Amino acid sequence: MICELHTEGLESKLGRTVHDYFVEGYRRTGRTTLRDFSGTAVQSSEDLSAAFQLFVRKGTVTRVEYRCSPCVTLVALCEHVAQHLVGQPVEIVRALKPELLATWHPEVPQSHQNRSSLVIRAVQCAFDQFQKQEPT
Amino acid sequence: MKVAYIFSTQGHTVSYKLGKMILPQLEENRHGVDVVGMFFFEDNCYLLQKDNPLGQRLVDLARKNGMLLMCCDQCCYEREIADKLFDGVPIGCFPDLYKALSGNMPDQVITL
Repeated sequence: MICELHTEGLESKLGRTVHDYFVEGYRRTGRTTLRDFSGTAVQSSEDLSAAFQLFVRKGTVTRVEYRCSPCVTLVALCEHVAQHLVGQPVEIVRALKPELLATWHPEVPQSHQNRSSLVIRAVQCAFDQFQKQEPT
Repeated sequence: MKVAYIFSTQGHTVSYKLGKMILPQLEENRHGVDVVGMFFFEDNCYLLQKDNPLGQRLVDLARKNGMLLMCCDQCCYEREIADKLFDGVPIGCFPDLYKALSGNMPDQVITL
């Protein structure tokens, strides 16, 4: 019983945060910018931008690349989505909703939750482009 | 004159310069300038975590005089306090700070 309680506590502490994803995202994208990136950029009303590229083999996402404006929350959410999609059927992109990102990261304050919508629009734009290239 | 303070360094920046000098002077209306905003980096963000008594005094003052209080978003995420700040205290980066100050721009920005 004591062991179970201890494990539960550990699991909650090992949850990966916005900061964790930001650090990984910055390592991945820090040397390049949106201008160097060939994916189509989607913009928010706050002048933040994000662009994704999906690499798909036999219907499965094998790699996701993205670039976005230098905003901590935005980088973290892009990185989380990118990691989440790898190994999944590409059709799963259709099911992504901003509300899902909010449940992944409840620590993002209300004022910054509009970044979720931008990320979802950008990844769905990449999905649309993928479909145009390889219509099913 | 209107000023904004950026609390960047640590050490006694918040506990002494803000807590013992700036805040009491503001509370007594004798600081000498209008403080239109304060921005907090690094561990200074802990000041604005809910239940911090010094932070509560600062928030009370800000609610009374309209002063902007904002914390660095990355600093708060790293410390896992982004969702634990006083109500009405946003997190953000420089674009958010300048946008929030745009309606009441300071004449001087002082980094402490």
